[in-house]
Amino acid sequence: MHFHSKREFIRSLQSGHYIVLACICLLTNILPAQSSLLPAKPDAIRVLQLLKVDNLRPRYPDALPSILRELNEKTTANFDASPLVVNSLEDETLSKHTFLYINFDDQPDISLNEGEIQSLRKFLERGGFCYIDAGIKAEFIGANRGHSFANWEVRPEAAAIFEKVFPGKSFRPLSREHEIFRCYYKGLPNGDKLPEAIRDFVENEKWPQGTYSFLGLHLEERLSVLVTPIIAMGWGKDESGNWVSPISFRIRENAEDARLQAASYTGSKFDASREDGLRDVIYSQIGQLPAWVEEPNGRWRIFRYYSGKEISDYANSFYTQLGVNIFVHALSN
Amino acid sequence: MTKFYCVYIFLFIISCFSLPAQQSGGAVPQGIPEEVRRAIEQARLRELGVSQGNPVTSPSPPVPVITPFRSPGVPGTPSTSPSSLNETLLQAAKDLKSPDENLRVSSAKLLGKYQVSQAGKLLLSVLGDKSIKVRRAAVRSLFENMAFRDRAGAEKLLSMLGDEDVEVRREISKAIPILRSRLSISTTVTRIINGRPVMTSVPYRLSSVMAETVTKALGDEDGIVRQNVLKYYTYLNLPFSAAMLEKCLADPDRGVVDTAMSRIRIVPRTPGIIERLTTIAGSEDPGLRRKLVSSLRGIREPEIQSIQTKLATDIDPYVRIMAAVSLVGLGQPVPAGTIQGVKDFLMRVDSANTQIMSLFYSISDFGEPHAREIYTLLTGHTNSSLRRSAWQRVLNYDNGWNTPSIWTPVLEDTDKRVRENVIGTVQGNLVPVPMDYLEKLIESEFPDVRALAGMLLARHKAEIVSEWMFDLLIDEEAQVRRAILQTAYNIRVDGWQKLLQKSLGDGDPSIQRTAAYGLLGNLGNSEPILRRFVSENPGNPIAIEISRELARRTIIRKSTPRQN
Repeated sequence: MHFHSKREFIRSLQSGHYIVLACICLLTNILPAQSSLLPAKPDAIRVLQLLKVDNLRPRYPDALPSILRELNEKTTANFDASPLVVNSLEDETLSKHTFLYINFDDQPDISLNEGEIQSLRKFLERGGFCYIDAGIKAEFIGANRGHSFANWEVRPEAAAIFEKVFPGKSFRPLSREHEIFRCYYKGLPNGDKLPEAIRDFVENEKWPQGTYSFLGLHLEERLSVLVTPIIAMGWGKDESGNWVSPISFRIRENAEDARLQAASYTGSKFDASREDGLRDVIYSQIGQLPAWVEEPNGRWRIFRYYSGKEISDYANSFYTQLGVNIFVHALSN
Repeated sequence: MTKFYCVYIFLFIISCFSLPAQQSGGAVPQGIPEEVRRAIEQARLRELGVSQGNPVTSPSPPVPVITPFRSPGVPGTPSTSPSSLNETLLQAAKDLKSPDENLRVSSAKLLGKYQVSQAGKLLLSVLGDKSIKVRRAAVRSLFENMAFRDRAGAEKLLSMLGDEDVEVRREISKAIPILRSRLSISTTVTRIINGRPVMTSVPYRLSSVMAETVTKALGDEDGIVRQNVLKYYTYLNLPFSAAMLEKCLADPDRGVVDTAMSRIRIVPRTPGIIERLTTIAGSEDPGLRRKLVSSLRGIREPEIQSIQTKLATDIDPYVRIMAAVSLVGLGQPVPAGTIQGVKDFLMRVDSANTQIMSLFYSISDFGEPHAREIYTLLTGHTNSSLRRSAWQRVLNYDNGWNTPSIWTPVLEDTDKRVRENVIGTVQGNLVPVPMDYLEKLIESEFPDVRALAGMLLARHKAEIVSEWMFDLLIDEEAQVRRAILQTAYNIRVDGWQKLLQKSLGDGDPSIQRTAAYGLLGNLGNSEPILRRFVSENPGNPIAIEISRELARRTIIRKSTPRQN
């Protein structure tokens, strides 16, 4: 099957090849589970995963296989659901593949030697795509928490690597209108079950129109490296099709400005970068999750934490949508 | 004139004393600009290693300063709180009584940030507020700060399972495990036995009113509340009946049905329940069928076995195989074609995800001959994780770890992690490995295997080691040379001392260190060799280390009384 343009390809993924889709629908109805367990086809695309340390157990072991199965089930793409793990980017397999996945929450202290830097540069220059999950992490989250927060800066460890790979090139925020946010899924999952306060915040501020804080590094206008806050935590499913990771929401809620300004706190203050380039100041309490935030417009809001199945399911669905969009976009570009 | 000189000398002496005092710690001259003065003060404090406090020397009035805590890995900027905790709590208490709903809500949210009992008491006091928003905020805050530590508070919260607001009910139902831990506090009774008071603990029982509230919540209009209550119902020591399970298995909410299946084992399987389970076995939802097959595993009842027999022909290979495994575990013969089905299925998959590994571990239920056959086949799988796990199983049969004919083939695996698994275990074997096998290991293309050969040679006599060690001593990989060097001095092969002396000049520091510690282990005979190396290699890091060790060990040796 050949595609003359990426639009054509995306159309085919979405609605163009009706017969193929009809077959998929039929198969998913007749053999709903088999599709997720069948072995990969010989020509399936293999995703490389970098795990620098031997025997390192990833933080989200079911994540990548689950999203690849999801892609196979929901689109006409053909991925091998088993990622190929490499310990070094000098591994010769890098030259035979086009997708590289690195999760900084698995291994925050990734350092690449000169050979790996060169190898990564070649990989990207010849059209490879590198997705760095958890490549954005606000300082206040700390090293051990797997929280996703829309900071608008690449974490320093990742930035340092790409400064060596492409000196002088920097990551740019992807606009909310970017094709990556709507190349397969558009908008947000159905949030009817969400509590009202959460739904408003999520739809209007956290993930407006199904977008998130994505930063990219472009080579000849092609998105070659994508960096996002942790998303893989919302991909994993168990054998019954249930989500593996429970996810909570951090919501900014209104509270009396004067009371927050005057309130006692015991922890540190942190800066976080906003989309508009301004900074939030985040206040914390000892041993607790971040407490409240002073926004650049002078408004103060309190962080509230919500958990529960409906919240977790919603977040998992959205992160899975984002994951599908990322891979489909990379495939079509 | 003499008086003039006396005054001059007096002033000179005074100035001599005052100048150093200024330089070492006195106040910075006030005549210079404020910024400069502060900078000098900071620099001086830094130099003295004093933590930077208020640079102004005049005492500052006491302010409610809370020292910021900076845990490792969480930096941030330390800063000063604008008020004390007491001041904040007092203000919050006032706000909670305000007629302004927004102020009450705001106060309830803020109190969630303080893990002190006063905050908990204040929040518990507004659980009956007429405003839904206040109640929601208070409940959420209480589960955030966990500042309710007694049973009364937990009971008050649990009773809110009957609240009119669904969000409040969801919060409470989700937090039943937390409430349970508070409810079981202080459940001791004192009895007089033989005239003595004896304290014993009794399980907590909910009051009948509370039990009724919880049971009623099992039929809540909201599916999430129903699911949560079902999941945690038994935490509250409430009896769960077959009739309840039957109702839950027919629930329209998938989540409730999924949770209900986890409860199959704790109630008798009534005809009604069997009927529900049969319906689920025919469900179009593969997730439910997979959950069902896992939940039924090991139940020895004809009705359940007939459901499993049906599942053994399911279109989903996972369900089919798990059902067959379960039937075999119950003593039924292996259905025809099952073993081949498992083999085909597992050999075709190319991942070791949770589903595959669950199935992999269940294979043991087929019994040794079949399981062994399947695991042996899987040692040739293309997926290295599956190969590794399969080898572990195979080697456990017939004490395979001690049988070189069984474990040596693993060392030909191209995946290092598969080999490591075996190497880690067999290097502890005390039985000598026959030389036929060792010879193959010495010739291996993998350095970790050659290093293992070097280590395993130590189980043989010195003459045999001398005969075979040469290839390993000139190996290009340091780990191999290190292993054989250790073996050479551990069993004292002929000329081991010369060998180690020569290895002190190896280009690899790890070999040098191994040789040095080998010689240090026989200090009585090797001291001159080591001292010569130290004197000939001044500045060499290993020579420095040897020198330090020599000094330490010589002192100990001299101070230890000799025994005859």
